[in-house]
Amino acid sequence: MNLLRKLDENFEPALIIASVSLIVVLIFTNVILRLFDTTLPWAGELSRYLFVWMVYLGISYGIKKKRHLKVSVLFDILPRKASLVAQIFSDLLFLAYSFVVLYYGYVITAKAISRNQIAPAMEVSVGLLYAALVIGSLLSIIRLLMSINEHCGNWNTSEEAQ
Amino acid sequence: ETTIRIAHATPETSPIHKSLEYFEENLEKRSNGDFDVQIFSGGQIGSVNEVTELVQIGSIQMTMGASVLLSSVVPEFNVLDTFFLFNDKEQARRVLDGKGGDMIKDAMEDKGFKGIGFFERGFRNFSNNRAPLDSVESFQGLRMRAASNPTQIAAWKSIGAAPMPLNWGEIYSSLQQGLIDGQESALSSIYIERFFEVQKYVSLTGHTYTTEVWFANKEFWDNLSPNQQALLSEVAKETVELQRELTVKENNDTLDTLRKQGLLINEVPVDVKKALGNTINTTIKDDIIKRVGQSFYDDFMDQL
Amino acid sequence: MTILILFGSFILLMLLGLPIGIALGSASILTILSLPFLSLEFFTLGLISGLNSFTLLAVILFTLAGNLMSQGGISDRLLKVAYAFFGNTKGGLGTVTIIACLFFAAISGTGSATVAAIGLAMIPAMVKNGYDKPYAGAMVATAGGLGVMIPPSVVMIVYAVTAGVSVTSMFIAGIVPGLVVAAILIIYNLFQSKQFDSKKQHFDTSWGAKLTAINDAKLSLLMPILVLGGIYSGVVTPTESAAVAAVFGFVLSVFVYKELSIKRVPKIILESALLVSSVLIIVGASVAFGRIMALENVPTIIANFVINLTENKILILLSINLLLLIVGTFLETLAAIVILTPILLPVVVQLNVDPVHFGIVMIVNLAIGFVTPPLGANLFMAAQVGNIKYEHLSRAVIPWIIAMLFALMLITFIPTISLLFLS
Ligand code: NA
Ligand code: NA
Repeated sequence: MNLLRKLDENFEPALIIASVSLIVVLIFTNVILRLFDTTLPWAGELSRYLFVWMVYLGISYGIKKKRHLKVSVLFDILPRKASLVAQIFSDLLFLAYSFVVLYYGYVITAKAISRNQIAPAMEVSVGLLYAALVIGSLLSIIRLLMSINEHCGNWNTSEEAQ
Repeated sequence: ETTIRIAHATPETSPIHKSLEYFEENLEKRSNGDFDVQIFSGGQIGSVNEVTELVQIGSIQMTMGASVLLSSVVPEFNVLDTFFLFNDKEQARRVLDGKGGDMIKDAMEDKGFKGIGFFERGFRNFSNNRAPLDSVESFQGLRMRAASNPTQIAAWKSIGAAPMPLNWGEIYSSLQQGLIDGQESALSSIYIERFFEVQKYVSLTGHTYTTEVWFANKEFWDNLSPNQQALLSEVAKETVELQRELTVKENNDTLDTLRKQGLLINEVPVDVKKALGNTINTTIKDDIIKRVGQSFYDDFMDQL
Repeated sequence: MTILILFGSFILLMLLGLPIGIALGSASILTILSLPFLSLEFFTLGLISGLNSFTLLAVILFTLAGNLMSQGGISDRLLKVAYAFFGNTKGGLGTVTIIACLFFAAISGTGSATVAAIGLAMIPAMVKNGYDKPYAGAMVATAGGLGVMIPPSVVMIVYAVTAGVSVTSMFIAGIVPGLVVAAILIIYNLFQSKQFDSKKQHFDTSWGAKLTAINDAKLSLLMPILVLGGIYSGVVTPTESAAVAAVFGFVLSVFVYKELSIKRVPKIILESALLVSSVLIIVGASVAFGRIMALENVPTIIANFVINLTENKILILLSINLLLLIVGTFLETLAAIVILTPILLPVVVQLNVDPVHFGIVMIVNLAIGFVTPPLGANLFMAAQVGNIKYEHLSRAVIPWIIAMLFALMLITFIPTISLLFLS
């Protein structure tokens, strides 16, 4: 249970912080190396890959932290319970979207791996890039289910409050 | 009606776009409207690598790209990275239109592509701001833009240059601000991408021949009737011929324009080219063979 | 029909409260399902290519640098310099913000990075000095769009290549219009800021205070010098300068000023990443959205309709502006240029409009597109940076858009503004 709670709080953050730190270090190192007329040719490519991973992990964690940018006019004007229904409905649509991205993200990842598509500088499979969609949407699905669960919990609390 | 969506990354003024317009007009007319060709220029659908994937999944039917960009998808293209591979464009065309080209097209089929033809960009040359490149020593310490491809980086390092991996779109600003001294590309690129505004010297090294391979989604091709395939191939052949004519003209015009813009253009002595080629090829040959396979390498070299 | 599904479902889903990026993505998915020749892989590939860009890396790096600066005492010191000089002038903080955007725009080249870096420091500072929060956010969002008009600008390079004009000419032509737009924004703020002036603090602006402020901020002042100088001297690319800024901000805050504990740095990184992700998810989805529009020839159809409406030069130019504004709202800037330039340029050249001048007109239009709801990249960033509701910001930005439109009219109908320094 304790482990689960730790994962809940820290799983995406740990990866996100590592990715961003690595991006800064890589790009900065290349600036310094260039002063000596040399370079890490794969640094730019790796930074881009980490960046895409950062965004998709951030999208998932943003669900937990309620950081997504939305027009919340509907949630604000509806009465409390109707608003909860609308929020659950919106989460369900997001969930459907995430399943589409999960499946078709998987399809392009699998194809990139089976066709042996290579990132030119790092010489690794492009599948490593596309997998950000698979893992990102999988985590989003978990976060959305947690969010729906939370809304349902609020339903009961608001009942008791009345 | 069969729709052919062609996406490419060059401007509408390029020989590629102009010849594709010929392809569109003739294929539609000669098939009595059986084909509908739509061309999307300038990378509006995506970069070469992105559109290549869209062709692979069949959302776009055709595209074209320089071999150096496609080699991450079809490693056999790496054979064309060999320096001073072709002596002149006539030899390049003969090999690519013959069995050498067929070998490459066969390799593409395994990845879901049908090779249509080999457009021409011409030989690649250097431009820079430091001094004319006319000796092996003049490359020493030259800060030049390189694609972030390990083979290429090794190649430039072997002749003493300092390659800097930069995206294509970053070259102009980097030349202007002095981040790099020079770059290498086909002559027409120096004009189209406006590099001439921020460069002083053009050195005609002619170190590699760039072909833009034109290809289709294989499933799309296989679903065409034999008559459709025959007509398409016929018009495509004319299109490639037209494109090559336009490219030769454009490269000649570009040389004139660059001279008029005040750039200093120099030929590179044959023995210098030979020395550069030897150094680089020694460095990268094993790597190329590793990527394309020994037998493919040997067979392709036999076609020269 | 395609247009209806694409835009209709986007607006509907957005109003249903779906995150804007997800609404955009879902609209693309629905449209793809209605088009038999497209598979959904087209969509997921677009999600990746929209983000897989070295230029976009600057957005996270500048956001991180901005956060480190504002939490590590660097922004405070720079602000105190600004207060000592402009603290008591009318609308002073607004002027400082717009000028800071102008400078920053020149280096970052991306609107969202400008909004993030400047907004993180200036929105809270303006709010503290009595400015209305959505007003401050709208100002930064609008001024952040100046990035594409001030060289070096990737947008200008792409226009120059597409139109076959000189990049250098474009760069030179962009400077005065960029200054004109900035001046108009500053003037607009001078009028508006009267209502906030009563709540303003009073600052010590004596020469002694000025010198003290500069002395306190001497290391902080190295930051803009390092970033700007690094780029113009050719030591770094804009994205690299962002990494240098982040490292410098880290070292200065943690080890020199010691105002930031190293334990808090991971949290700042995470905050920056969340902020950027929530905005860039929209960028990723808009790439797929834009490609569907391009494949269905939507911009071309609309453009041909517009240019055939009339033969009157002024009316044509006005309708082209209107077209660019609408397209700029929905289409990514570079895609808009590549698609529309070949259609519109021949029309305006016939009307004796200089291609360089037209390029500037086009770019100002697209800069306005950064802040036009419902799809305004800079608005998204400002909403996140300032913690402002998107719909409030969308309302607050309208007068700023009108100010920009006024600038656009000047730039459209007075070619000299653009062509002044070109023979
Ligand atoms: Na700029
Ligand atoms: Na917009």
